[in-house]
Amino acid sequence: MYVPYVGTWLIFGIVLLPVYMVLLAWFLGKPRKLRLSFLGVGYVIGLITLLWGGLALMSLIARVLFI
Amino acid sequence: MYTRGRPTQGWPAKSPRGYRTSFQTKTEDLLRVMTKRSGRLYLLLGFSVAVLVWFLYAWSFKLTHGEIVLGLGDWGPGGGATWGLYIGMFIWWVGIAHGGILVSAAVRLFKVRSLAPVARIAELMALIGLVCAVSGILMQLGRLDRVFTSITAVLPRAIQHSPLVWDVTVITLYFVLTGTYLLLTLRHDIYVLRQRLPPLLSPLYRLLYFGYHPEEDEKVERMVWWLALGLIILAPLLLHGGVIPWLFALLPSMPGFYGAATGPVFLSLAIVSAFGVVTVVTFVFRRVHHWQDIFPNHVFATLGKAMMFAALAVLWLQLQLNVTGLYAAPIGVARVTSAKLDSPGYWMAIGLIAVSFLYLAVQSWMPRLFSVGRTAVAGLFVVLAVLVEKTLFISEGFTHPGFQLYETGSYSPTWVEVSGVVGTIFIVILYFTVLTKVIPVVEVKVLEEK
Repeated sequence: MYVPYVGTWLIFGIVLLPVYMVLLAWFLGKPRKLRLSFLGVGYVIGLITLLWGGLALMSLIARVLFI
Repeated sequence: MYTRGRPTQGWPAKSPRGYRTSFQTKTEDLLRVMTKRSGRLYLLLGFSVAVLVWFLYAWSFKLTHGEIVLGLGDWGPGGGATWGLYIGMFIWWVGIAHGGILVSAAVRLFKVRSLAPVARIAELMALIGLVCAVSGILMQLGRLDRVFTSITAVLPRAIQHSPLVWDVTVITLYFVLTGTYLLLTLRHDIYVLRQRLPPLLSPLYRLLYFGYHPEEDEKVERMVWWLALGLIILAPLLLHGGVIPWLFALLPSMPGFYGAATGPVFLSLAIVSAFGVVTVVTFVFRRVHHWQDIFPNHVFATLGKAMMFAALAVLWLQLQLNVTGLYAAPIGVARVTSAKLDSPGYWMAIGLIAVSFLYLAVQSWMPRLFSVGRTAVAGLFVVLAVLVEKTLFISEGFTHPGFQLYETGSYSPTWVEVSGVVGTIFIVILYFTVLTKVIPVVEVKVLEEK
């Protein structure tokens, strides 16, 4: 039987717990306005994409220029 | 609940005379700084850019000539430290970045109203602090493309067991959630001030308040309340007091990095430096822009008290570390503790924190001794002290390994690394100088308050 590493529980069960809490509270908390809840999620996804997309682009440019 | 006040329909406010005067005066002050251009501004911008050019030259020098120019070596036969000032700077900046969430949490969760005027400056500091922290890793790592390729290639497997991947994950989340926090709170402010902001940037402003309606304020306030709660658990407790010290504890032959107290020690230093930087930056804003009415004395009194308690926690935890590290401790721990106590840098760091603590304590009990300038100097002292302590933690940890095969190594920062630290400080100066012209650095609802 597959037994997850203790680290799996630690990162997904404890360290990321505040993130789950925030997302749940945005959607379930009052006043309930789904447009704004989705706007918040959109900001989160947009910033992650911007950050890691930018890093990917920078890596690509660095490779083209220097390798 | 911490609700948004009047007005939400536009500017200027239609309210009682006294309120209108106060709001208008403060808002005019804010807008005056946003639109004002002066010779001093261009001089500062020019000097900051010149320092950044030097910073990039130092970085390219390191990329061209390799690790040798950093004075870093193998902790084995090389007798040195593999990490030094760059990684010390990384931990220092991550700690400083906590200022944003600590101040916001104090305002939103614990209703410390006196800190409300500095909440946005602290949030902006969090974002740039994280950028500067990551630059420390980039400069240490060398090739930029390694960051992306080394993380993405192993992420699905390594996230289960690697604190390094947890570190990257949590720092990304910290940056993203703080950015979300800022974007959500900016919507109201940009909308209210939209007709008075620089017209050149109107496309950006339209994007920032896209779809805004005054009725959304209550929901947004609840959303940022939950964000503040989530961030206060995620960043100080599980990042600086969690993932980062867990990561160092994995280096098995470095007794200086190991121990259950490392997390609380990291956290105490992070908190004191975070409040220190917010104090210094707020002082500079107040002094340069004559914002005595926006940042009155009680803001500094509260920041001073927060710094005082954090400094006391630092001193107490250092006492714990040193007593357990010296008194009948395991050989490796005793050696690295003795080395730390023999270092003048360590005593300078502790001395700066102790002096700041004593002054802030006296100032708290005897208000006639209160001084905004001296509180800012105490902030500067603790910030410098933490940089020295963090760098010593890294370098002493490496130069005193837990085995006796080789002689104890040595480490001293090179001009390349010092240029890196100075460069990141000027990145922050440039960032605030430019941002002050683009967005309101104080929340409008704070200006609206009587």
